Amino acid sequence: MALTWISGELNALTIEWLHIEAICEVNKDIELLTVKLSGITENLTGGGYFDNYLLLKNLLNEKTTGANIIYLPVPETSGEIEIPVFGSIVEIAEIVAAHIVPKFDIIGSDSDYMTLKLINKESSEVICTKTFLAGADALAYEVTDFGPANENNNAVNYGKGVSLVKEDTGGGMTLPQSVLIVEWNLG
Amino acid sequence: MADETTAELYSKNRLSNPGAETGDTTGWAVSGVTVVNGGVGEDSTKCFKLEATASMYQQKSTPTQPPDFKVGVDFLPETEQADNDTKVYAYLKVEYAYAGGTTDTFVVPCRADGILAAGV
Repeated sequence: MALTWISGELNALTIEWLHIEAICEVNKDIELLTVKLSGITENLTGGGYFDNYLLLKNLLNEKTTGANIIYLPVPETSGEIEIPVFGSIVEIAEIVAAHIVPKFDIIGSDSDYMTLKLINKESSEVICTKTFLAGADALAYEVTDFGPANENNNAVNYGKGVSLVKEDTGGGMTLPQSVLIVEWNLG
Repeated sequence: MADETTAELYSKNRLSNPGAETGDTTGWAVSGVTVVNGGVGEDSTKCFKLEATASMYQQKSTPTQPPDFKVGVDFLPETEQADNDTKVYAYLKVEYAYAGGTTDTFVVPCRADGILAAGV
């Protein structure tokens, strides 16, 4: 158990809090179902203040290759589509980036264009997106980044999935046969 | 504090509203707990106030099994505990529920004089 003093404020008064940490081992021979963390006082004169509870899971059994990357073939598509591209088999997978490698050039347009999105299907929120407006091209056999992953929406919980959505604006455009690259880490 | 303790080996905090960020007790099952101004850390403006006898807990399922969990809290008693008073009046309790109905329970005392005992 670790004990350290740290500074903080309570009602504008600078005081010293006690930071407490401990590591609690899990019986690895029996399936763990739930973890319950409680803060408890019993006959503590005047009561007490609790802040910054922690429950951190040891990821040793889940750290295999560090950063994880998947490569997913995407067929040539005209019109709007939504296809599954990812599912989390760990407690939390965080999508950190996505890229596309098209077979043919995708040339952006301000009138007829497409938007590619990764959608967190649990929340229906956009994780990252790429809109092919004029000047935003993706060249054949080169890697083009989607926008940065939204850190508020990029956590994919165990058993949940992510889709790739193609939305057309105006006349839209054709998505050539491509490879979608998704980078993710343990959350 | 969370960032300092989130070494690469450990996950992000599995608790919701761990420092009363919402301004209330959302996410917790509580008895005798309120949220007050104050707290630890630059971004902390709220913390939990537990009455003399009170409790609060969160329970989480875990689809994959870890070797252990690191638990923690920042604690401040309303009044200083006498040096000759060796009782524990505040603590963290961690309870693991396993398949088959067995459990493991850990109690982590919150005692200011533990610092002296630990020689820190």
